[in-house]
Amino acid sequence: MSEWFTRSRSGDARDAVDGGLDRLLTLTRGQLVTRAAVGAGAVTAVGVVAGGLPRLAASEPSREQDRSILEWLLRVEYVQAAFYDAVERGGALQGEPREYAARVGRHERAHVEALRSELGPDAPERPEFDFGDATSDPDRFVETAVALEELAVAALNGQIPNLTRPRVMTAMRIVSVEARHVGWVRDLAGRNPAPQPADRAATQDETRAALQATGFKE
Amino acid sequence: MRPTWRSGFGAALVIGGLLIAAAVAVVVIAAPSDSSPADPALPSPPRPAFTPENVPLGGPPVVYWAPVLAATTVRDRPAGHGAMAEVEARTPEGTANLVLISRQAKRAAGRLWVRVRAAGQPDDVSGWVPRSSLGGYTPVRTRLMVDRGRLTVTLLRDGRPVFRADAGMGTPGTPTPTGRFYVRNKLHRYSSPFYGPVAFGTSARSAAASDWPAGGFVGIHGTNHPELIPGRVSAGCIRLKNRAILRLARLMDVGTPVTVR
Amino acid sequence: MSGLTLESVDRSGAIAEAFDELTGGTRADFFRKGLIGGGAMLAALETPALAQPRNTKKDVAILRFDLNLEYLQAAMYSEAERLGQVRERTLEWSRVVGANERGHVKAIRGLLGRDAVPSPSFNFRGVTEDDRTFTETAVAFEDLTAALLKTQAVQVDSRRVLAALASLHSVEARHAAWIRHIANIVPAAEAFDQPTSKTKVVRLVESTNFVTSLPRTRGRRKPGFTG
Repeated sequence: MSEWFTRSRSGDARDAVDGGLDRLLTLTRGQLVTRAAVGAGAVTAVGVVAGGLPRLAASEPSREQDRSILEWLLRVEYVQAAFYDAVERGGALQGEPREYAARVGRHERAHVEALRSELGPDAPERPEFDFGDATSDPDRFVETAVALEELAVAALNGQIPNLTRPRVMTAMRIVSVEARHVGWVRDLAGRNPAPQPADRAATQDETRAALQATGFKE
Repeated sequence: MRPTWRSGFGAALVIGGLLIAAAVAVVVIAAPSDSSPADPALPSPPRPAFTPENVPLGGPPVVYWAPVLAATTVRDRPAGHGAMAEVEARTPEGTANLVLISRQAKRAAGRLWVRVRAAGQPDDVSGWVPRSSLGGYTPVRTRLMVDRGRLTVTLLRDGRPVFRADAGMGTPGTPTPTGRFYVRNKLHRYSSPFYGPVAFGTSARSAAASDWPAGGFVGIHGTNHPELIPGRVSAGCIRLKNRAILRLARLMDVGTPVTVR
Repeated sequence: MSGLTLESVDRSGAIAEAFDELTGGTRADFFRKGLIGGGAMLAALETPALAQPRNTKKDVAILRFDLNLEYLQAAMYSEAERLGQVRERTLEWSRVVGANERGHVKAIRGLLGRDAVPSPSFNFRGVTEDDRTFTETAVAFEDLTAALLKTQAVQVDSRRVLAALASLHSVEARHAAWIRHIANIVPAAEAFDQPTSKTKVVRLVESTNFVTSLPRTRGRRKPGFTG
């Protein structure tokens, strides 16, 4: 318990406050800002008494957390790489979708390799997936590609601010390419490639749910 | 500081501490329950410092004006030989000369040409100039309607009237010209009571002023004879009472198209 | 007209100083040229300053640089949309992406509050009226903006600002892929995109000569009208 208090007082206390307590209280952002209020722990205590449960303030970037994050992002890249590999093996696509799958598949494999090499010998292994007819039916392929690339962009954006700065650059260089994939395949699909001015940052739960929603079983 | 058991406050502190411990425990237990051992619970991202929303352009179409950077000939076609008018880089008042942009662009003879409206006679001429002879485009949302019959001027903004005033206009012998024109400059801080506190220059030329030293352009300005307004009293200019011209100066900017009927 | 003038935001000369910082003191003209008011069309995008934690000096400098870049893109795409001279797919791109970029301008101005800078004035020299040069220029700007945001993401002090920049960064990459697709260039050439520096961005902007000064349309000379 004392450790939890300590964590809220030290480090980037602003983020701990903003991340958790302002969901519970109706304080304005201006009022939450002052380090004095946070440092005293008074605000955290009030937060608990107000009846809400503060979020675990474990979001301070660290090398250890980087590792967990990269393992998680590797899982997302594994799904994509496996998808495009299955598509290429199936050989059922023609024209631009085929060209898209080939090029993007190369990128996803490179992303997997980069993350595995960062994680070293203990990196998780690639699971097997069953993609059904999403790898052969052109319309289902395009819709699935849109879903997976959107999922990847949101998952990466969700974790980028939690990484240490060197890993922030690595992840930005990857999400940039995933977003290009999205722009490309959405235009291919006749959909607006940029309907929103800013992309969502997905939590781990949201990404997990999105993965489950694709129906692809491991 | 260790809580003391003796005071009620101390007891409250202990109870508070236990509640907090319980809360933390509940939080820990209530963490996402379907995480596999391989997926430790990762923190949520911090809330972004801003969240933009799309901004569509909307609104009625605007008119663009551009300054003339280099004197050029307005031609009847892109890279054509027919000369419709000459445009200088400066007005007689020393300000940047302007043209209105007509939203047509074409490549010809290795350059981009754009269609413009420029000062001409009896009213504005329409023709083509090289894009490189013009500066940046600025939009305007206002339009001035000049009614010679009613002796009024009305300013529209986004198509809606926002200003109206009585005006003095040209005599039958020296009439205010009719047709389409536009405001080219805004003059102030000169000392000349005849023109009032503010004067707008337009692309309109008075028909009866071919040998006028400064080109014979028609202006919209104040006056030191307000008793003549409304009336057909000028050599072509549009005169407003000084309070009205000052109001107009706050609402109307250069590039505003002017239609005189 | 824009209510934010250089005088109102730069009482201490801090902006001029920040620009020297941003541009290495060498090409200070880039941002200074257009700071004589202007930005009339963007008056509608002004928002009151939101209650925000104070931005650090470094974050203010980064956000101001981004704001100037967004001003340029927003103005260019808005003009292309209004003039309607580019091809249909390019026009649709300008409409959608312009709405995004105008949203970015508004949001960054909101975050900067009194630290915001007014828009430069622009002469797009026909690029907004010619499909080929427009798409070439848009590709260059979208690619480079995405590249710049990577560098800035690593530099910002605030993680909330980092989150905001990341949310814009992937959208700029969407823009880049889309306009490349329209231009029949490969939308995603490499597995990893490169970051870039402020210097390279300044160089691109200068190479376009888009930033201009306002023409002088007001005068003090006594009028010579017919009267």
